[in-house]
Amino acid sequence: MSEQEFQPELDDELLSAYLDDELTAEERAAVEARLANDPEAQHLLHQLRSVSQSVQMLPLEGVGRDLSGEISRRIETKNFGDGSPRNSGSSAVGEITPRLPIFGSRRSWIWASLAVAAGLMIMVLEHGEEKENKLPALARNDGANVTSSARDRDEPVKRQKEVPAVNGGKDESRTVSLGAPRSPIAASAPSPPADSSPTDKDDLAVRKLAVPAPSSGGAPAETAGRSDEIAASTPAPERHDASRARGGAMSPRSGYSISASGDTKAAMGKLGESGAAPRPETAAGEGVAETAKPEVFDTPGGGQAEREDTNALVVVHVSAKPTAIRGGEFEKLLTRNGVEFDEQDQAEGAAATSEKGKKSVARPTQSRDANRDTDARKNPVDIVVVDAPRDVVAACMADLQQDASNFASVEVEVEQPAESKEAAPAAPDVAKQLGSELRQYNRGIVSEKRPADNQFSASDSANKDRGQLKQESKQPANTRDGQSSQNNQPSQNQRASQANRGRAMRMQATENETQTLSDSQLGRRAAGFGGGGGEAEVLRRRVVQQQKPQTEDSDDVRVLFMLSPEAASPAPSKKVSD
Amino acid sequence: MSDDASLIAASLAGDHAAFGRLVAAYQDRLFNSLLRVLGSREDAADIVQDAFVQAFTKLNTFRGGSAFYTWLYRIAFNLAMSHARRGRKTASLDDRKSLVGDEPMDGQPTAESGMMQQERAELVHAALGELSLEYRQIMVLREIDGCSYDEIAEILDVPVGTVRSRLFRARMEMKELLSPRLHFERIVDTR
Repeated sequence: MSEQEFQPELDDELLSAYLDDELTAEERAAVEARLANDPEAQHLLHQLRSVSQSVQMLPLEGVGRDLSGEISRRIETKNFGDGSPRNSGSSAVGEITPRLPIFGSRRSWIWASLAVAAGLMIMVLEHGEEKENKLPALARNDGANVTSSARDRDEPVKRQKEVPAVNGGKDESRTVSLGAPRSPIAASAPSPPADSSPTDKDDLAVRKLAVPAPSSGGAPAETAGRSDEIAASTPAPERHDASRARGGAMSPRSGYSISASGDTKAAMGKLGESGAAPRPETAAGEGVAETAKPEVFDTPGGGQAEREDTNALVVVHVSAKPTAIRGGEFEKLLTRNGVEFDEQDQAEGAAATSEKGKKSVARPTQSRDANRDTDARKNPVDIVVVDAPRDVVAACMADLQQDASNFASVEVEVEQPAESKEAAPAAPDVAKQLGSELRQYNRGIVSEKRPADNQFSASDSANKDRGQLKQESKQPANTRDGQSSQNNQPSQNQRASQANRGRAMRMQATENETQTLSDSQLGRRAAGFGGGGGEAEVLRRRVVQQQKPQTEDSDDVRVLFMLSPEAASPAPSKKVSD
Repeated sequence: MSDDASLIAASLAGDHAAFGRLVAAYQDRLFNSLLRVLGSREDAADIVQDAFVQAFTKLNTFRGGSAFYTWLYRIAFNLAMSHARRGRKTASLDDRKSLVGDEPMDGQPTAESGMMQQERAELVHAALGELSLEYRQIMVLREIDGCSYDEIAEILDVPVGTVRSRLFRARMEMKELLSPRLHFERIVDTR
């Protein structure tokens, strides 16, 4: 192989490799051949050797100490992160299981610091977000034990908001999520079940509220279960605003605490009914359930709506002459007796119920009056719900009895919800008593299918329902509706002045309804006792909305007037003599 | 089974002292090489520790197909490359002086020879510091650690041909740096 066959760069590399003895035999032979004939190659080889020797002559430097101890400690730190002394007693490295490094560099420490900072920031932001979510202050005060997590709080609330308006009146909860002023209830309530966690105050309170009286039968387990579920829920604060507005002036922010106390009072009222002495036969869990109703129906006064759902109802069938209907004589009669007529168009539906703060006295409009004749056959029955003291109702009944020129007949009936027949078997007889009082005003024709001893009479179950109503009517207003006792005084003044002593609301039943429903069924439907249909729900919501918003009197009663044209009496009737 | 292999096996088996003996066996050699690459005793010591720690954590991945020190050097030089690329200083004058020892006092009989050796070492060390990191590494591996081309190729994870050419260029650059200072011509001529 000639010299010219080698490339200069490659030849010089071979010289370097020749110096290191890293050539193949062929390469070595070629280099040696070149060196034999090329002085430049010899010179370069000397230079490369000199460089190599110069570097090789550098003195060896040592660490100067044994690094094994330091390395062992670092490995321990890496393995256990926190510098756990698990293996600190040994300086040997090999006892530590090899693991991936975590804090082996400054960058790792920087990232760890950033992660900690981010966590702190999230904690701060989450705290602020809860405030924005308007969690009740009282619930938050003892909320450290209230709920396990935000998710646990949120989901039950959503579920609860989706509860249909008509669900048998078994909605749970509100009281449970009220938070702070729970101790009085718990103090007077029966002991919690043995499995209740002593660390969860809310859950404990719920269980206490939900613990049934010994005579409550099979209800306890179900009730307690519901309460447990509710324990994790958070009240929807906006639902309380209207009731707070009625209860007294307060800022939206302070409304939460007052809301809680108001509902708590309602719960206490319930407890007074159920857990405490007066009504041991009523399950305390019902008391809890009843307070949930306002959240669903936007009703003031907490569980009263629910109570009334389980009560018997006095129904007065009034057969009015067409001229009286056109002239709004019935509305005038109510107004004369101090009943504020709250007219709401049924077509407004459930959405109208949110306007409950408006209590304008509304008269039937002219268009409605004009349509009444044409719609008489289609809508033969006007349902007017009256919430008023007994004396006001009696006065209205007396007027009805005396006004034969406008009203052909007056008939009193006591409607009893089917559920309450089993739910409150020992309820006292208030509705019966009221029905008996009002029945003296019967006049004209009476439906044959409503014999007095059938649905109007004092059957045991009806008696119980009426008794429940009586119990409620005997309760102080502040415990029944969650209103403060200070609100009683204006109400009494109003009654003394004979102004706005009661409230009434009109609804209408279609002809089809009267064909498919008996009067008693229609009355029950209007009162929200039966049926799960959408319209029934609307009716119920509207009825519930009219819960004695201003008359907190202990003798308030509810009467359902079924106002039908004389010629379109919904049921075959017979003449009765009074 | 070599000593290294037995120590590694013992380390993996939980022998407390085995890995410590491996550290003791290689820490100074590795430190010296890293000192010539990084130019700083402190950095070299840090990388030595990092390399041993990382070697320990990956010890179960060591297949034994190569020498332990080759595997350890590969870890260490990768760490050194990362360290150097983060902008750390390589060698300072003080570092160089510390590497070659204190300057001899004037007028002493052994001063001339000592001064010559110290000056020479300092110049070489400075020249190494002027090489690129790749050239510095390969020069150290070959001239200081005496690694073969195959070992260098494994440590640096490059082909053997690359080792040869890179080493040649590193030497040529080192020659250019040292020629005016050490009078290679004279050295060569005197040989």
